[in-house]
Amino acid sequence: MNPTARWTAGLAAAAVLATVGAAAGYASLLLAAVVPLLYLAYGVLSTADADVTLRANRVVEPATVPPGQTVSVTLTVENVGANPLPDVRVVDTVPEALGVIDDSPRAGTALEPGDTLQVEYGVVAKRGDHRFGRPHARVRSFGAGAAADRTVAAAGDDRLRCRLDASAPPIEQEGDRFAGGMPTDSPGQGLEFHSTRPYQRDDPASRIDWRHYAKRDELTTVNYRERHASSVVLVVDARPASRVVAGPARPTAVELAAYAATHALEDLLGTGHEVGVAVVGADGPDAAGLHWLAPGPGHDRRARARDLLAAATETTADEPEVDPETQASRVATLAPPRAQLVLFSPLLDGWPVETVEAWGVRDYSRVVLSPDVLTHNTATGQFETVRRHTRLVNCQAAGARAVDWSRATPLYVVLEAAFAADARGALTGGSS
Amino acid sequence: MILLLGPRLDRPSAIGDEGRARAASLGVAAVVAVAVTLAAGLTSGLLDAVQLAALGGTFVAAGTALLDRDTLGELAVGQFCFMPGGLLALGGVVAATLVGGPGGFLLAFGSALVGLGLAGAWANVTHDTTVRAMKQGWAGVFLPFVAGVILSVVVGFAVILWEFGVAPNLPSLSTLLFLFAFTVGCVWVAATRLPLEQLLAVPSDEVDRRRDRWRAATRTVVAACLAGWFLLGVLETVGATAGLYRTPGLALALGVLSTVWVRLPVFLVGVGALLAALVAVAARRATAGDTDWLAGPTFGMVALFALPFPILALLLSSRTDAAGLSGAAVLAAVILLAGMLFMLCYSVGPLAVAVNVLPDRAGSLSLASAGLLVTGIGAAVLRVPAPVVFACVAGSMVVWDAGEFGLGLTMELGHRPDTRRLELLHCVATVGLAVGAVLLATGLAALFGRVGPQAPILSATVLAVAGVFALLGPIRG
Repeated sequence: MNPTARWTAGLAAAAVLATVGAAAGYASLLLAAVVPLLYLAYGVLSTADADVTLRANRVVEPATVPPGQTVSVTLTVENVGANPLPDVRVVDTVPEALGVIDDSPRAGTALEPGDTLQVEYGVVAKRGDHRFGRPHARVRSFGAGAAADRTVAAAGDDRLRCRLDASAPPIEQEGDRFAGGMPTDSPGQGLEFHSTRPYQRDDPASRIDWRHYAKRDELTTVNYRERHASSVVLVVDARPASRVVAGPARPTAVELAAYAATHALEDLLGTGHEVGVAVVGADGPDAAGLHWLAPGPGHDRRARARDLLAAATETTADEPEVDPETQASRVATLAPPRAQLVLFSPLLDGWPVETVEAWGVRDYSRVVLSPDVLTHNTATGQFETVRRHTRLVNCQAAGARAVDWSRATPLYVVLEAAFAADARGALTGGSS
Repeated sequence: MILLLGPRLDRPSAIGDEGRARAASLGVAAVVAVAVTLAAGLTSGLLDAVQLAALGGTFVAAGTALLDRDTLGELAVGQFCFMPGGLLALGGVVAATLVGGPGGFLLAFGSALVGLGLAGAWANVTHDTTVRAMKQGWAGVFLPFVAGVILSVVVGFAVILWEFGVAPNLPSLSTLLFLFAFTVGCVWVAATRLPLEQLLAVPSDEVDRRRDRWRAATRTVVAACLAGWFLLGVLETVGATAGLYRTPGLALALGVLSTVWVRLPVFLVGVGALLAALVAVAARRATAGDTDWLAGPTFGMVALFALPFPILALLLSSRTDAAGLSGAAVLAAVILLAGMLFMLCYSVGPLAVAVNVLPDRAGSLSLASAGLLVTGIGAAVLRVPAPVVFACVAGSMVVWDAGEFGLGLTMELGHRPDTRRLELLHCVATVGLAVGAVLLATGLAALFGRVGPQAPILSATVLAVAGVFALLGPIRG
């Protein structure tokens, strides 16, 4: 219990009134000094019990999310004691890395026994495992003469997990939308009809065109459009210029890029592709400072690729400077011939366009997926938006498939646009 | 409604640790303060003066809040609230002093403080805001002096130019050259200040080239004219040119060139160019948002006279004989002095915050609470019924308690959470305590009135108060 020091001024008022009243002989003033003294006495005699019985429960919905998603947090505090509490103020302890964007994690009210106080607010998820602290409560006496502080143990959720591979719900529902076994113009095994040819020994019986045999008495073999597994290299732009946010508490463009790359990785691996990962702009173990994982088979590839993408989001300004041009050239050197290079970049400067053009010289097929982190409600933001759109167009003109990931668009739609089967012109090599 | 009446006064912060107290608390504090102040005014017979002072204080607070803004409109409205409001409050205090003596002064002064403090608390007036308003106010009061000096210099130069350049007594070539120097100089200034790139359909590079050529040419012409003026002026003064000027052809030409009808257009071109340059500079400053240094004081000066002058002139015209220019000058001087007196009083506030006598964030609430205390003392001096004095003091406590509680809520919880229930519950407690305190004090007063003579009772009360102090000190540690 600690009495609040708000009535020091009352003491001064009483002194002034008593002095003036006594000096000038005004009885009413002298008696008026009783009024502030009464307030003072009330403040002194007030008590607030820190051991009040409060019960708290927190719900974090959803508890596992990808970066950038808004998470709703509801903290319910109940007065489980027998006495009414005239003034209860509660502040939830939000993890330091998270920012509140909706409502407030603070609330205050009077609580009758059994009454509850609900604190509802929203935070934006950022990559990492975030733990909520114990809520703080301040209880005051009636009239706020005294205050006592305490923390309340909260049941329910106390963690928010933000993972790059957290499922965006629609992806699983969409099934195999991507160019899994990549369709080519070569005839062979597959699903889609391509042509027929005379039967050759060792052709499987399942590919013999029996209808043609019945009509013409000749054995012919059906060719299907052949689907080849391709090599895809996911390149994340983690340069300092890309470590920007769309607003306070929002994830950086690098986090969004890594998130999109992680989902692309899952889907491409799931449909039989060989996927490699490169992180440009961070200081890695490679000779050029590149974080590099070559495309290829192997059970541990998925986990290693995820770790690499997670490392991209952890780059800080303290790291040694690296030369992104050298790293981009290194990617082109290390990538297998006819591999598809997918660059995840917010396109905030000219480097991505130059890189895409340089990769085009080596005849790599290229895809650029660009998360939009610019503000659109300021003159400078709109100017930068125009410049970014120009860069997207320039990437397209350089032969890449450029996809803009605006904030309102779900990731699966963007990935579909970037890797859909009808994009194979760009994906299977050469300019489209 | 607020939008209809003018710019919004409060700019609540979304951060939470800034901004004014919560609305419900301030609302209760305001209702109590207004009721108690009106009761004191009514029972003392000084209601008009009290209302005037409180209204003036409210206008001053509104003006203070608006003078912290950046746009011209808000600055103008702010000055038109600030200066006339200050004079209104001053008028109320002076009127109450004239009628009620020291008690009237205290009553009206306290009421002005109540209006100023409460409105300031609503409008989230802070120390920085008052400092800025103080600077603007002083600048507005001193600007008439500065403007007078500048105007005198301009008028003097214009008279000299007219006498010797536009309408000379004798035909003179040197005065014509002086006039040319003035006009060409003005045109040079206009060419450098006017937005020619925007006005002419010519590429900006070309405009720059032409402007440079024009500057060089005008500089040469002005230098030549001034040199000619000086040389010819000396020659004319010593009479060396008298024979030359009498040459028949030259005398006629000089006579024609020395007439007002020839020289006036040249003079007007110069004046027009100078005015255009001034307008361009003023417009550029105004649109760049860099207007505080001039616009604020100018609005302050205008506000100091625009409203009070006609109102006072109207009021005084029926009561005094002074009229005409001398009466107006006296009235203007009185207004100027009153403005300076108001600014002196106003400056005490920021100074008190600077030396930590008043708290910064709760400064407005402290002012309102102290105002009610002063009102209570004034009411006691005026011998109004004791319960009204007690009510004033209790009101002072309520304003402080409710306001400080609301401010604490804002600081702890921010503006977003709904805290109306909490605030109203607290207000019930504090108002209940105030009513109880007033009843107790009234009961004691009645008891003392019956018990016996005044002096022993006063002594006993003084002892009782001292005893309470002595007890409270150790209890509070």
